[in-house]
Amino acid sequence: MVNKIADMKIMQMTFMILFVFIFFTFAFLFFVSTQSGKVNENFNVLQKESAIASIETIANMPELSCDSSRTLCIDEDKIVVFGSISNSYRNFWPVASIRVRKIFPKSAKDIKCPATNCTYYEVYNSNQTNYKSEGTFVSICKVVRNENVAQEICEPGRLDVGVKISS
Amino acid sequence: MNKRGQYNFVLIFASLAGAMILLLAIYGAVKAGGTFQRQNEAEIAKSIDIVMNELQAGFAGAATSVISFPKVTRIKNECNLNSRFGENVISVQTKSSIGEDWTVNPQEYSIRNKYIFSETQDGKKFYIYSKPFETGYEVSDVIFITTGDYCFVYPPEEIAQEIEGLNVPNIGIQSDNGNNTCKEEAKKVCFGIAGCEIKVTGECNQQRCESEYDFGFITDENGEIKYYSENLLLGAIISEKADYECNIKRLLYRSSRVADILSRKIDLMNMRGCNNLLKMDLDRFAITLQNATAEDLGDIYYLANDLDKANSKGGECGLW
Repeated sequence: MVNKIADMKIMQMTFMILFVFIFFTFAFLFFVSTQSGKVNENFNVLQKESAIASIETIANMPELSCDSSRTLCIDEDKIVVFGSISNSYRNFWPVASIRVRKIFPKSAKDIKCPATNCTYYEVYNSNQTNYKSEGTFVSICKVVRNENVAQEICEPGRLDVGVKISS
Repeated sequence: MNKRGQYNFVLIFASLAGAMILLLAIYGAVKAGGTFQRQNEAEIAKSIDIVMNELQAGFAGAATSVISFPKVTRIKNECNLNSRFGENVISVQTKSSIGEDWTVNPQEYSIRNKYIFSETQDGKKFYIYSKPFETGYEVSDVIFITTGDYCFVYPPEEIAQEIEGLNVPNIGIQSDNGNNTCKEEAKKVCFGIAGCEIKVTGECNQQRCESEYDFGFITDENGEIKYYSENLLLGAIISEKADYECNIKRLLYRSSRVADILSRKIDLMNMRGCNNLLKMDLDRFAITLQNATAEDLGDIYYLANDLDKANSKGGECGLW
């Protein structure tokens, strides 16, 4: 009889400790999942901030910019040249893609440059599928010689930078 | 008797289980605390990168900023050349009140598109300066992160003016007219004279030099020699020799890539009737830069000077 009571007490205590342990485990798991959600959110916010902050830096890079005295001015010749060697700049930027889009005249179709009536230059593409675009307006300029006078011709454009998003 | 034994067993069992749960909880809390500290440090490292984007000097010439931390923080910056463009690896360690003083194996964050020169020091306030690096054309902005105090003893006029213009709080100037803005414990940097921890020797002595200190070398307190040119002087003063020379290699390689792009741009310009005669010079310059080191900075200074002069003759068909 006494043994049975003792067994009951041990069982009672074991269950109690087990429940306490399970309770704390669930509480810990809940805390961890909330925190990892926060980490994910922070990662996305930092990636976005990083891309937005990178836009001006990328536009003003000597590989793409008109010259160091002007901001947000992209040299069209440099984009053409850079498009052919951009693979060697893989992982150079913390971004998924870089595109320079001509915004005038407006076209219903997206045509990749170089081509007749093209609308955009693909400067860099990491082939990532999970990204979001952020951008700013820029001038796209090139120097041409007309009737023996060299002059710079500029048109409005948009620099779009793809931000990597964590899944 | 039996009841007592039964009571004792329950007590011992409960105490052991309770102690185990308590120990497990403490262990979990310490581990979780460490993880959050590492997470926080990784976020700081990424934020520093974002702050540095805002600091790109561009056509402003130079930019200055301060980062303050609530706790004593250590910013480590290593340069490595694992790829042609190389990278700066930044890690942040914060002082902890539990366990180890500093986080062991902090989260590292790679930055490939910036050139960061810094010293490894602990502090709550870090000063960040940004200046353009040019080899005729602009290559990139260089960024300096310092927390220690420096005292420039009798610097040449142009360097003194630049420091004053930048309003750099941790670099004082002791000038020959008696003015002294140096802090007592600051590391002394002498220009041309001995008697300081760091000595700067100017080697630019041709007519095309704007100043004797346009390029030269510095000798630090360990007797190590670091070659610099123009805006790289502060980098040579504050950085470890290995990291400094690695960053210079990265910069010069980047410059060779820009020269290559400019050379190809000439082909496109020539097709539109805008002739430029720099192609051959640029191609040669790009080859020279590809494997150049800090020791070549003097020669590169002269070559860049000549290129810049030739380019300005191109007028509207100039490349930069």
